[in-house]
Amino acid sequence: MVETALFTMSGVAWPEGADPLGLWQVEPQLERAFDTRSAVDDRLVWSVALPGDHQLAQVQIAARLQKVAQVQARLEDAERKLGTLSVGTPFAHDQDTAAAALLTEVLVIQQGRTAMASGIDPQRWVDLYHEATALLRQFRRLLLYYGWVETEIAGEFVGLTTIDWSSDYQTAWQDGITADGMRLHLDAVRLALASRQALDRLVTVIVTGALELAVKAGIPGGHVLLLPAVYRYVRTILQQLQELERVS
Amino acid sequence: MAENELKHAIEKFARDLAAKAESFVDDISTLEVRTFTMPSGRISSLAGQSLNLDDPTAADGLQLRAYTQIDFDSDTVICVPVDSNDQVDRSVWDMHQTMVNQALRTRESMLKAMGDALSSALAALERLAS
Repeated sequence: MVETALFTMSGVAWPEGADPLGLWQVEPQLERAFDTRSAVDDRLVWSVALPGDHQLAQVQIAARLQKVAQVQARLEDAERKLGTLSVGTPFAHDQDTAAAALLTEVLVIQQGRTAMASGIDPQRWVDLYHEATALLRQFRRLLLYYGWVETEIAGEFVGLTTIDWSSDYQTAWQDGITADGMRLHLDAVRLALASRQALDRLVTVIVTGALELAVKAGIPGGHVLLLPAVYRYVRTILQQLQELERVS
Repeated sequence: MAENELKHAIEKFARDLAAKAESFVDDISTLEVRTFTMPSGRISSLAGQSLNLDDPTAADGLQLRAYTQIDFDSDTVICVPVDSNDQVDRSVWDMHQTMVNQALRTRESMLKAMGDALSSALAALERLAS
C-alpha cells in the first residue's frame, strides 16, 4: 500500500538523470503495469501516486507545492548571482567554487575560439559540443510538449489531464470518482503546472545567463556552448540555497 | 561532426521557438476545456494513448461529457452534460466547471510567465548595455 506520495516526471532526459529543481523523480521511460506503448514517451508526463488516506495525500501535495514556491524564490537569487559574475576572473572566486568552475569554462571557450593549439584537449571540445546539443534537445522537448498529468490513488488510476501551450485542458475522470479524489487530482494538476512554470523559469535564467556571459566574454555565438556550464552553475546555486535554508 | 549536430539542434530549436511564438497568440486567445469520463475498469488503458481531439471516442468507453469554449472577448460556447432524464448531471458539471476555472487560472499564469521571461531578457540586455 502506498503511504508516501510518489512524484515522478518522465519525457525529459536531464543531465545526470535528475530534476534540476529537485522536486520530481525523473524516469526517462516510465514503466507501469498499464503502459502499453511508447506514446507517453512523446510527452512530458507528471505522475502522482497518492496514498489511499486522502488527508495524508493532501498534506503531502501541499508540502510539495510549498517546495515549488521555495524553488521559485531560489531561482530569482540564482539569476541575480549569475548577473553579477565578471568574466576573466575565475581565480578571484576561490571562495565560490561554482562561479570559478563556470568562469573557467568561459575561458576554455574563449581560448578554444582563438587557438586550438593552445593546449585544450580536443576531446574536451567535442564533449562540450555533445553536452550543449543534448541540453538543447531537452529544452526543445519543453518547448514542444506542455503537460500530461496522471493521478493514482491507492494504486488506482483516477484521473488524467492534458494541457497544451494554449492552456486548453482535456480531462478524463474515472466514472464515479469521489469529490475528494477529484480534489486530489486537481491538486496534482496544480503541482505539475507550478513545477512546469518553475522549469520554464529555469530555462529562461540559463539561456539569458549564457547570453550575457557570452557577450561579456566577447564570444558571439558561444552562448550555446555555455548552456551546460550555466545549467550546472544554476543547479549548484539552487542546491546551496536549499542547504542554507535547511540549516538556518 | 559534433559541431554539425549542435548546429542542427540549434536550427531545430530556433524553428520550433519561432513556430510556437507565432501560434501562441492565436492559440491562447481561445480556451477550450473538455471533460471525459471512463469506466473505472478501463481508465488505465488511457496511459499510452492520446486524448485525440478529432476522435475522442477512439479510446473504448471514453465519453465526452462536457465542453466549454471561451474566446478572449468572452464569447462562450458551453455543452452541458445531462443524464438519462435530461436533467443536468450535476456531478459531471461541477467537475467540468472546476477544470474550466483551473484552465482560466493557467492561461493567466502562462501569460504572466511570458511577460516575466521577456522582462528577464530585457533586464539582461540593460545590464549589458550599462
